[in-house]
Amino acid sequence: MPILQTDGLTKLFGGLSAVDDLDLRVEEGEIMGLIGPNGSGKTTALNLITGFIKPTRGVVTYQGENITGAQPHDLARIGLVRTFQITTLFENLTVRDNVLHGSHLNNPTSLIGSLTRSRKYREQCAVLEEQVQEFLAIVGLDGRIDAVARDLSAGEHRYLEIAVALAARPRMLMLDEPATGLNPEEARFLMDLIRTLRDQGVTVLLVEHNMRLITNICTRITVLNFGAKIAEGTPEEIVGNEDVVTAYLGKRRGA
Amino acid sequence: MQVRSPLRYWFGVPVLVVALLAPVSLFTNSYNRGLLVLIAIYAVGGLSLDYIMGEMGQFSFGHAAFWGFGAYVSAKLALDLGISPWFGFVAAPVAAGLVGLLIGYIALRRTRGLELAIVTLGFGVLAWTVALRWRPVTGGPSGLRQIPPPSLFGWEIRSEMAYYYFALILLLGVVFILSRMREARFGRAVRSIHENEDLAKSIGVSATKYYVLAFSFACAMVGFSGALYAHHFRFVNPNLLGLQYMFIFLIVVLVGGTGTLWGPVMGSVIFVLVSEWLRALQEYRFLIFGVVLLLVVLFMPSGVYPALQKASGRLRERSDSKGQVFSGGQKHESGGAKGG
Repeated sequence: MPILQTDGLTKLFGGLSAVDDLDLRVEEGEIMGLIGPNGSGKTTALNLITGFIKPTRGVVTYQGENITGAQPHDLARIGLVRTFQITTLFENLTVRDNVLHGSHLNNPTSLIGSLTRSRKYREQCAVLEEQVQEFLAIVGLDGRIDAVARDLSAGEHRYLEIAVALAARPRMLMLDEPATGLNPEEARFLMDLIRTLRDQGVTVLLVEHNMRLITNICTRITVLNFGAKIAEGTPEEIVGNEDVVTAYLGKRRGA
Repeated sequence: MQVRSPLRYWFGVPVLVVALLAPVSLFTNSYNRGLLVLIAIYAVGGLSLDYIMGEMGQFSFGHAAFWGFGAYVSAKLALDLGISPWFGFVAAPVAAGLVGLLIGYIALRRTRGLELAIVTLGFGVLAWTVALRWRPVTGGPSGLRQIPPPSLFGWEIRSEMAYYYFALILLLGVVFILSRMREARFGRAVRSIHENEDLAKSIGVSATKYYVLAFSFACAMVGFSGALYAHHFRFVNPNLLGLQYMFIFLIVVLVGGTGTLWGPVMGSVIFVLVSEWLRALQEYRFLIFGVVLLLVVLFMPSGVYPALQKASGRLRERSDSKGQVFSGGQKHESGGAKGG
């Protein structure tokens, strides 16, 4: 059974279909790529799955449960966490506070505990702090813990975004064009990071329009164009697919 | 742990000493001591409005309505049912908090920002009208009189001095709770919604739930301040729910500085003292306050307290170059993780 599945997922914006009858299957433990040219409906599909917008038609199933139209925060609670296309952080707060806020679902402290600073509360905080350090170590930001988020570089922004998402303990992580704005070296680090997450048991849905980046990390790829699925398969199959090439580069003259 | 504001050490202790000695040195007659009580009451009210403005990043134009409501609830209980003001000090925030929960639930599911301000304005005007018209319960335009003061072991806290110390302790308690709340899971959730609602949702924070609870909490706090007012001045009237007090709380917050915890306290001191100096001008006082507010917004847009913080940070850097680096723009005074 796939961990995530959409059936006939459709979103109409005033008669125009942003996502058109999309059937998506993501298997547990894989890195699934969702690609397509700009404006092909990738981000809309992600917003539909994560509850940020409601679908016109269709069903989203996560771990066998119908989650169509569920609230984003409820989805986070069952392990479905996303990042955003435009890097989204608590920009005015420190790196530590960003990850601590991200730990909301795993923060065991009680209100009484925090008012009295009981021994139990202090112990729980120490554990949280340790976890924050761990998450930051995974994304390579352990040296920047006291920096304010808005002072970070573009690459560091992306890494912190992933650390914040990790703090919510996702079973499935959905990344929306995480490599945008990164230099090749940063992009490579990011891809290694995504592999590491997969190895730790997180299923990844990677939305990207950069084909080269996605082909050497994904196990399977789904290609969208004008909101509809035009191809699905392994990276090798996708690269050789005539429809995909046409969608990206346009029709060859005389063909 | 993050570096703490040096202001806390430089001014914290002297300010507390001044606050404790004020009624026996500077403010010796009962009228002037009454001003001190008013400072403490407005400070609690300002802190509660700042919870909506500074922590939630929202605005409520109905805040004074909750203040007046708290005052009426406590007054009514004491007058009609003979219930001790001590119970009123609990009942008023509970009642205001519950109404806040209802209003918050109606308003915050859909609205934020300007829309929320307008919805709460509507509620405020409604509450004011009810206080004015529902004579059998509220006493109409003349309000309720002869509200009893609280008493401790048979001794009534009637003198301005005693009530001032009583209110000061409660004010410090409120500041203490607010500062601890910032690091609590609840406070972090509220702040994360303020900072970025979409991100907060995506990591599992139910934005509506926490905003409704935070709004209700602020209403409870201001209801408490209202009860403090009722049992000190011992009369309430519909004006308490009106825009005049709304503007007072707003001035207290904006002059002092939003999101700074001590800002509204300082704002309250400034407001009450300046407004006393300008007493001869009567209603025209608000004209002067308009100008003051304008100047503050233009020259100290984040308020007097942050401006002082910055200045003291600069002084400190100059006098002690190897000392701790002071981060003047920091929103949290002590927002670091505990145990860190």
